Amino acid sequence: MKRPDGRNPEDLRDTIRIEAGVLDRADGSAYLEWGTTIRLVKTEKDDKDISSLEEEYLAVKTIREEGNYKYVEVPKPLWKEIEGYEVIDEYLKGNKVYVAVYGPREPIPRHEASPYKAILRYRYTMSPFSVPERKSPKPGRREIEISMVSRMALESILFLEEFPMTTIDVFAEVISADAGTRVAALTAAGVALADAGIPMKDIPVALAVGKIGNTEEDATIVVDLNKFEEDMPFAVDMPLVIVPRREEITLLQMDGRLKKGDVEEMLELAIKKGKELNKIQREALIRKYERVDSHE
Amino acid sequence: MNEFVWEFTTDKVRRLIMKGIRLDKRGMMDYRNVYIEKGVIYNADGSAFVNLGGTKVIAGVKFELGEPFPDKPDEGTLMVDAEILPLSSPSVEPGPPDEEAIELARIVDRSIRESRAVDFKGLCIREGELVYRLFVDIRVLDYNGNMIDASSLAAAAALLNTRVPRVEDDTIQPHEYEKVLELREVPLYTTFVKVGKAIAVDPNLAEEKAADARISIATVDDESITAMQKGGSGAFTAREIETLVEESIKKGKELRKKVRG
Repeated sequence: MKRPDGRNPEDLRDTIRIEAGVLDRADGSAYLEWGTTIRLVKTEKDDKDISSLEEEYLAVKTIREEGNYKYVEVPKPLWKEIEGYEVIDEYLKGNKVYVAVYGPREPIPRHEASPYKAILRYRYTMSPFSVPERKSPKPGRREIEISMVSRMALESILFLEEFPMTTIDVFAEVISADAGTRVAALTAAGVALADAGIPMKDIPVALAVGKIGNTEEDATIVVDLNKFEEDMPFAVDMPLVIVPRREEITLLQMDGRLKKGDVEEMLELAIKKGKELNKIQREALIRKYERVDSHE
Repeated sequence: MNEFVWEFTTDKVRRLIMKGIRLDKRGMMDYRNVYIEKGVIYNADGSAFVNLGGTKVIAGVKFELGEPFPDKPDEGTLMVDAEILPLSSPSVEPGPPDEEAIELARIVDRSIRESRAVDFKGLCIREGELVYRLFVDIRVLDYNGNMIDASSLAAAAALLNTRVPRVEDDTIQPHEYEKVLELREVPLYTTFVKVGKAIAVDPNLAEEKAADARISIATVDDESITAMQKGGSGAFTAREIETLVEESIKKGKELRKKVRG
């Protein structure tokens, strides 16, 4: 089975960018883009090569037809197939997330403070325009649950006991969504927390592994599912938060149908790819703080 | 910044601005840098990111289908929603939009609606039954003052970038477009603050906190005024308002070039 965007099973999506310290008011912040870079190709309607590419890969998709022409989206891993075609646009199709960290600061309301440790708050929200059908601005059940499991995933990684009687706030806003938004937010949160100078055992990294196919029998284990893959007839999605150095897992959710052996294989894959993603997080922090050094 | 630092800064800003000096060295009628990027959100029908001197705002436009209002059976509808996200400032608490966010949404809504920027009759599919519902959602990500101008810039830029989705069997076909949304006007606000007797355009956060009063004036191409909002507890004289209307027409022209470009 081929992945819809032409990736290998062990490939993360082709475009992952993180920038640290993007919001000036926050004590720490990060902006993350995680998806596939699309080239929009203009071609004749009956072009055989493009049509066979469309049949083979779900993510190669005609989005508009105009007279004798069609406009086809081609994801980055398949660009070698469209050499010589007219490219009229290039853009990211994927997740875009801003994360801000405030604190340690005085808690509101004050009676919620603990004399033993900082109270961590995590708020994950999605902008109404981030998804195909406009999302109501009110926080839904999904956002509330994700906020809770995300908070708990971070609590044991942070040295909260160093800051009794305070609150640490992590706010994540998903402005563009394409599967894996909770892990995108948490990966950005790892960078934002480090940027805020909150002491941590390690920079937490988050990603999803899964198993996808047309039937259970032909399904393969893959990392970092996109929207096409999440919507396949057989799809298992397992978002995780990993503490890379200790190889521990602090968030795990799963739905679908797996064999015992699959779990082991998927966790191994997740830890391996998590370390790769962790490098991108570290590079983002280095880029920001290198700049500070050069002024001295 | 904590409250003590704010009080200190506010005091300094007040004293200087009354002598005609702004902490960031701008002249009283100098606007900050504006950066605009259109088409940043894949799932939106139109979108724009605006950075106005450190105030960062994103606006997204989406269409839905629905019934028209009974009093306007042949017109599409408009809904503007704004949220000042807790990411944007230490003083914003998570929760439903407060009065400030609701005011922001309503004044941006009025400038678009009352300037007749959108041809609502063109958004009718079947009279009395089915129309396009146009949603403009504004999210303030980073708050360094003057979110009214930043939001109106973002909303206008997003609308200029908007395509109307194609409808088949009474459902919207995702990523298939009927036409570019025709925008007959590009209404933009220009905001001023008054500190003592001094007046300055495009206040940053410290200036906003130091201000006694605020006024925002929306203008369009033919130099008409399409919406105004006075804020803060201080007052303006009639003479001052006349001058600011003139100034906002001038500033509006410059800003419209940037938002169209």
